[in-house]
Amino acid sequence: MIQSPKNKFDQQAIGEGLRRMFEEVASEPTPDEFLDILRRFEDAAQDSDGEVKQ
Amino acid sequence: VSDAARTLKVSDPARDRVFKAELTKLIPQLRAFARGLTGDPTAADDLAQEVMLKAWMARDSFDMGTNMKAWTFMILRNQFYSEKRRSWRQSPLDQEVAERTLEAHENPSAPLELNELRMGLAMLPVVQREALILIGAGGMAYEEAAQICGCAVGTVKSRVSRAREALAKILSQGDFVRDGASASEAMGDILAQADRLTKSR
Repeated sequence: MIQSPKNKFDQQAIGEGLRRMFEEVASEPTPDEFLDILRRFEDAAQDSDGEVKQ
Repeated sequence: VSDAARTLKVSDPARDRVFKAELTKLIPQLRAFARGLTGDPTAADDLAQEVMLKAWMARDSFDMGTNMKAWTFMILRNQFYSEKRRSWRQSPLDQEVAERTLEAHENPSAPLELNELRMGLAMLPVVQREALILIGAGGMAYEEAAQICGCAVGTVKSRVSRAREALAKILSQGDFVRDGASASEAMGDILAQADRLTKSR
């Protein structure tokens, strides 16, 4: 695709921004709710059926 | 179901532990993908948690050693669309808010404000948004994204390229008006696809 130099720079900024946006969330500490769910998995794994109680 | 097949279905504690450890590693990326799709931190975390539960329930059907990231992203995407199907008619379109808030970007070469980027993303048709998030933000391979979206590699490529173009326009002009007709057409396609996926399970 042929782009004007200005547009090309925009695409660099967009690409950089997108990665920063994703990384910003991905680097947050895992919220407690998620850790609770993991603990429920452990309990469930010990049950015979392995079902997670909602 | 034969006895042998039934035996395989019984949860294996060692396998469960590996599965859980792998799933745990994916939480940050699931949250980031969900945030990108929904644009809303609370809705995104609800979605990501729902995906963890679904993944756990379906763990016996996961082929250990294959790509768990793609597998969970696929669950997340399907969950997102099935929730969206329930709510999208009632709720105002994302971009109405975005259009009111987004102002012209005066210097296209300056580092982007993430808020602007988020609002710009919200204005994209959802299939373009997800393609751009997977490829441009999440750093996935085109093949991986195609697997997740259930479409051809070429389709992902063209969606990403159209998304980039549209986003550049939105961000530099700040007055982009989405083509409502094609957007709802895309949504119709995606709902039909989600229907087929649900029925084939």
